Amino acid sequence: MIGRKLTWPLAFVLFGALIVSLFPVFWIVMTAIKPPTDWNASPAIWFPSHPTLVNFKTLFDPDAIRAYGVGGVSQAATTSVYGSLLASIVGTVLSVAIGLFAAIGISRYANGGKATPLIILSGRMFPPAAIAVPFVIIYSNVGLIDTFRGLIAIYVAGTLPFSTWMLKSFVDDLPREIEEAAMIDGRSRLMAHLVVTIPLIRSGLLATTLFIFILNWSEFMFALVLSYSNVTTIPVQLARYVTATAGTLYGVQAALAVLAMLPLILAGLFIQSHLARGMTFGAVKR
Amino acid sequence: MELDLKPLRIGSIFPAALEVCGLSKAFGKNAALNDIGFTVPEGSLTVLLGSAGAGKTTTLRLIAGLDRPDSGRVVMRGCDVTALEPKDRDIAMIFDNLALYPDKTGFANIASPLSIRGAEKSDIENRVAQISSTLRIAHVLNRLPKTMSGGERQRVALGRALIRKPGLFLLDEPLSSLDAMLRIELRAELKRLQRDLGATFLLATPDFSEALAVADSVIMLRGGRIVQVATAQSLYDDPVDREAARFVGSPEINLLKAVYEPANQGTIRVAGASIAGLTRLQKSLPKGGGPFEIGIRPEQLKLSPLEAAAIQARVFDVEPLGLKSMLTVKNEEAEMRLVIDADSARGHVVGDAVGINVIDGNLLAFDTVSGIRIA
Amino acid sequence: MSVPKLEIINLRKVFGNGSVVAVDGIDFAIEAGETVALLGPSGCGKSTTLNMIVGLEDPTSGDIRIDGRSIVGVPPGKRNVGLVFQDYAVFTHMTVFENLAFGLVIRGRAKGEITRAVHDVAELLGMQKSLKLPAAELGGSELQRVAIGRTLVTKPAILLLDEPLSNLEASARLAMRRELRRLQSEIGLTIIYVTHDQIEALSLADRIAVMNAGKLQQIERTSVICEKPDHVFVAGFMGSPPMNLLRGEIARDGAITGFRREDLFIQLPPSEIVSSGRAGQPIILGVRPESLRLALADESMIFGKVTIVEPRGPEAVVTVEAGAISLKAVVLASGRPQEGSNVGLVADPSSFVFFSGETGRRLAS
Repeated sequence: MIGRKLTWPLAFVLFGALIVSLFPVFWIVMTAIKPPTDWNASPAIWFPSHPTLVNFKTLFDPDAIRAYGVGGVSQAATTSVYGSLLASIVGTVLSVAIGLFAAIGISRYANGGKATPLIILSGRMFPPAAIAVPFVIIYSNVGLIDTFRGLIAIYVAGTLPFSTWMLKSFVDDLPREIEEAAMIDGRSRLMAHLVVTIPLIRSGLLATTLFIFILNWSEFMFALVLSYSNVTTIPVQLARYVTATAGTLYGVQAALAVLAMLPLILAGLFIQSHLARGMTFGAVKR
Repeated sequence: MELDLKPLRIGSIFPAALEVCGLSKAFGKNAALNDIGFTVPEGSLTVLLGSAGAGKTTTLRLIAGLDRPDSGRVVMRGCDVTALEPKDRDIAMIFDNLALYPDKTGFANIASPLSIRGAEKSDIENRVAQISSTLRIAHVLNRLPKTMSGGERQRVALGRALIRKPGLFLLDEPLSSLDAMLRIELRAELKRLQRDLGATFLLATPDFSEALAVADSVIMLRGGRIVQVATAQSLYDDPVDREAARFVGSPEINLLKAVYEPANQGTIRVAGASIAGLTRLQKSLPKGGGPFEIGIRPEQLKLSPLEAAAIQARVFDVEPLGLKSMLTVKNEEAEMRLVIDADSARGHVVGDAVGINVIDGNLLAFDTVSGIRIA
Repeated sequence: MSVPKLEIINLRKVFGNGSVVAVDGIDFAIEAGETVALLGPSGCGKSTTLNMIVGLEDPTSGDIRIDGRSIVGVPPGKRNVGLVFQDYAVFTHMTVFENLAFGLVIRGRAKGEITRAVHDVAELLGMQKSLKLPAAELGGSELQRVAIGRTLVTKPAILLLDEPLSNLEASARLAMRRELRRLQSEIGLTIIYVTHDQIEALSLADRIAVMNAGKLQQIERTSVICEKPDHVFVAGFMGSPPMNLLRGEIARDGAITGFRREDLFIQLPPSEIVSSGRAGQPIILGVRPESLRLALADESMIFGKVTIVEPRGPEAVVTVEAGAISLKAVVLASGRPQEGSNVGLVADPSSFVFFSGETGRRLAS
């Protein structure tokens, strides 16, 4: 193909977009290594002159920050990290697994007729804030308040529309004749889908999993209202870094945020090659 | 080409390889198949012929078990398999898009029917080696489908189907994605393979020349119903109605309004001329005479000098076809196509006046309203 | 002397660091108003050649000239060639009018000019009534016409069509061929078709350029190419079925000269080839299936077994095998033999065509 030169206006726009999208990340990383005096400084401090790791230490040792004259962090962040990992991983796995089979059913067997896909999607059209309070009441009655079971159930229900829809489009792209060839070769219907369909939508599956994981990992509203003490997730913990004396502990929040970003970045890098490999298969093309 | 794959059956004491009765299938409001019934004899190459949407693929899928019929039965070698899953029916299928496993090598693709059923590794290797040498694809065994050519992929799909020697092979437009030349080459190979193995093939195609070239028997489908079952040549010589006559044959048959006048020395008025002496046709027409639709194949018309010709017309189009050319001529009553030598065609340009005579041979007559053949 | 409309000069295209030679030094010229078909099997280089003429690929070496001026390096939009894609690539979200107008709108022409040009082309293609229809509602042949119309509106110097009929159903193809022939005579454009289907090429082109493995085997007038193939490849490609080709040599059997291949000996009448002292040199005998007739054993040149009979309607293609030799003959359907029976074949020796066994080129007879 004839290459296009990167003209100045285009480069300018691209660079600008890059700066705008990466700036929050930059700011958070910088804040995470700022000592408490730099947190609220005005004018804003871009690069701390005395970078420190005390914010990170505070996550695990709540008293570490007292060295800077700031108090009031009551607990370590470790429980919230475990909590987030548990809720997000289990929630994602369940959501993707259920969504996968739903997607295959809808795509290959038109289960539920034409309306079903839209009905499934409509589950996400509700603003979460509107149903948060009713859910608190329901959960209290059923005894699911402040349990991981309860939170995971909400996470699965909330992300299922996405996982089903995304996976359905990948299954749609795969010619059904490949599974049918496997069925004729000797596989039962179920095995044909497990052994043929799923591996061939691998890249789509990974992309969907990452997407759902991000949704669950960053979910705040339901984690907040449905948990008290047993269940804590990272977003909830972040909100707790506010003291009466020092105000919001931005540095510690930023430190937790940086930690929270890491799994996502790693996962993204890991999957990148699969995503880039593209969705075209080639073997059944004419 | 020596084949040491043993023939799949001996003798004709077995019941038919496939028998289908009363098959019907509707998708929503669309009645794709309506009461289809036919028999496929053991060791034959039967063709399901029909245009797109006639129901060929639906029929094959019902026979394979990939879809369930709304009513009717599928019986293979005497066993009712209608309720069985595809894997439990003794079949192999080749799809029009081949459906090779894109992430597996040629070897793995061909071996899959055996490896899925847990055959011995050495057994598998032997059989794959045998098949791939017969089909001349040994050199692609280690490659992935996307690196193979169209013909190679075709043969890998064939290998995968042949390796288990099932009782029935279903082929859904297997050659449609290939080059013109490759298509002709491979269809002869398919026929040869079928013959050498004594296998039973049921092949679906919209291409009548493919059907004519390879079929032992042709089942013609239209709008979800069976229109005619006949040998290839009979389909051409004795079509059951005018649609069937139109579908088989290129250039297309000439269908012209005609009137039989038995009182007037048995002449037939067609294309503005009165033609006598078409004795073969006259014998089969109803004695009372009257209007009908005459079917004249292009090769049954010939150019004659204007004075000696029954029909006068003007050249409307000349289409070169290599050693022959197709002439389209028109007069006020009709438009006709005929095939002549390229040499003779060179002498004619659009607008020329020409004379046409009808050769008394296997002319066809159809009822003007229903289209059914009456002679 | 007039400059040819299109000249291809020693064109070469190599992919992947020299490992794949898609086009291997081809030369030809096309006159203004001519229609030429690039015909060949998949992978012969015809599509790559087309892409280089359009500008979607750059040649590795060689030149392409339109009206005498080299266009290598000129971007596709500025070459003034029109390309009709195999799958039409019609914009389905626009109406027919908008599709036809597209090329001129992009070039920023005046509205009045655009409307006139679109109406002219629509009239040419018989699409005046469909101008307001959304393109998504059209069928195959109509989409084809819109695709062609879209390029015609920009009045290209050369029109290129990539497998124009392959996406049409058999019934639509005949009508489309007639349309295309009518267009050719009415607009007098220089047209190049790329196709793998010889019927298409024969029906539409003034000259056919047969390509194989990156090389141009022969470019010849359509009316002549079937009867006088220049090269063994062309002989084995054109025709359905193509010419029978037998490798052998000219040999003497006593006082008689003829063609020998193993056990087969066919007496040949005296001619340049026979008497030119070619005895012993490898030679290829070509005989058309239409020239072979069934004959009784004592009159036949070859006697063998009928292995395949392929009905074609009015005729049948019969494959006869005798030893290692396999020949195809076209016989009337009524006279076709049974598979498995023994038959003899005979042909008039004056219909034989000879090719050099070494170069593959036809030998004058």
